[in-house]
Amino acid sequence: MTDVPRLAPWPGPINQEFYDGLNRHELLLQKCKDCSKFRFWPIEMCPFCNSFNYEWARCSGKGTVHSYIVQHATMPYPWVVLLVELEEGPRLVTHGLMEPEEVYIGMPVDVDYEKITDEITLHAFKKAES
Amino acid sequence: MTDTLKDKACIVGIGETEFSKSSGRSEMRLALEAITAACEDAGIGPKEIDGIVRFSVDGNQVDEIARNLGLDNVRFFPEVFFGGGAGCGIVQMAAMAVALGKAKYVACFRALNERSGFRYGQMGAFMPMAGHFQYSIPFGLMAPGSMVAMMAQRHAYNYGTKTTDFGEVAVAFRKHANMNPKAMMYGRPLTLEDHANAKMIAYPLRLFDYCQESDGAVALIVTSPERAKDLKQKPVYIMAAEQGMGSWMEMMTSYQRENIADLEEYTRLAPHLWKEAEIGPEDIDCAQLYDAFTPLIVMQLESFGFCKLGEGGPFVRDGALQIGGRLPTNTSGGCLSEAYIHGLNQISEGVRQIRGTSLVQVPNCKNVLVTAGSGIPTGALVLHSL
Repeated sequence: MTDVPRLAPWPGPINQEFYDGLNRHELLLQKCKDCSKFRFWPIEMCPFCNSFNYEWARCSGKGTVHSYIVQHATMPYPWVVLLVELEEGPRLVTHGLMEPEEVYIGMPVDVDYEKITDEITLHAFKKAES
Repeated sequence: MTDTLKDKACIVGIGETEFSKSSGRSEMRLALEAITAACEDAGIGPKEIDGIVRFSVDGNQVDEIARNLGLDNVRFFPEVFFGGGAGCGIVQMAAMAVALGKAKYVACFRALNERSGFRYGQMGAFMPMAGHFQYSIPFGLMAPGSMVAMMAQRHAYNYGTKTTDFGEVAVAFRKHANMNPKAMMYGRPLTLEDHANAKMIAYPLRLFDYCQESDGAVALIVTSPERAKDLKQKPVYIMAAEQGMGSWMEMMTSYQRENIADLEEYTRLAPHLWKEAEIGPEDIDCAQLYDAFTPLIVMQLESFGFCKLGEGGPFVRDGALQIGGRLPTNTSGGCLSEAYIHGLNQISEGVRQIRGTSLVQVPNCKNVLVTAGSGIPTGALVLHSL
């Protein structure tokens, strides 16, 4: 478990596979079966081609920092929040597993995982290994 | 009838409660005080109201408002969602209704005990409001200010915007608040140094980049130009009214769009707004821009064409937004320093500027731009008199 209490998301029909994947330490995103584009967050229709057909596809887990903040208020220590742009295109808000002074826009990052409750594991991102 | 809303409706009454951290009374009471004050201001009796438009997030339902006022023939009662994004949209609804004869006098209102009751800025408080917040709040992006900080950081990266530019915004609006005894920050001057030394909340944003948390209510009465002529106040005409969404729109976290430093919801509606008004940003004498957080002002100035994309930082320097500056903005103090009545207090200030009755009056003020909430589906108005 992480050292800071975290508010938990709520899995449901549209995103159960996403959270099941995270529990297995796999980052799955919806991928359109017609135009092959990835999308996030989970929604019924492909916003590129309006197809209902999709699969859950595993991402490489690699991305770059598109933007970031450091949350000071409400956290026991300065807490890095990243907006990561994945290789596959979509961007994720995620916890940054690095020191605030290390992070910069354009930083290459790799996916990691944090168990926040017995049922929920979330993605987090760390510095890419060269 | 032509297919434009220009000058087909007027704001004829404004009503406000005091703004505080603890009103000591119900949100319904606040709403009724503001609505009856707006009627009094307009010179109509409350029972003449036959339309009511509310923010979907308001705690008061229109049927209960009608019951309290004793209305027996309300014909029009839509609502607009998306928090502060509803502010100008509810006026657009009212204007369209009176223009089409669907109502005679429409009351628009917002009443909230946002400080003493439900506080939006508390850690994850609004997570249940929309499903997509589960993809940001659990990761530590806890509140609207942090969500805007993410965009501000990218704006700084793209264009070289400085935190002192955000400070210029805070200082300008605080200056106006210090000329407005109703403002929550009246009597509390602010300097650029104070801004730079304030407590860090969500880097790069500090305390004075954040708006007030307020209890209070504001109401407006909208009617047709024909009826307006017989009322107490100089009519303030709605020159243009638009609502807008950008690409990949989601409340507060539209981070999939190509440029997260562009408030597309304004950028996309602005050409429609200027087209309907038949004027451009160069004709605006005074702006009332939704300012939940300072970076949103820098970005809105770009969206509405006061400067080019990326030039909002340089635009606000050297007191440009202060009274006497290039574009006096948020002359009552705005959400940052007057009160956070979800931007409806900025519409009432826009009305006062056109009437010539603001405490921080822009000389010879002819055209005012008002905007609703940023980073969410939103709206904007242009006001003037004939």
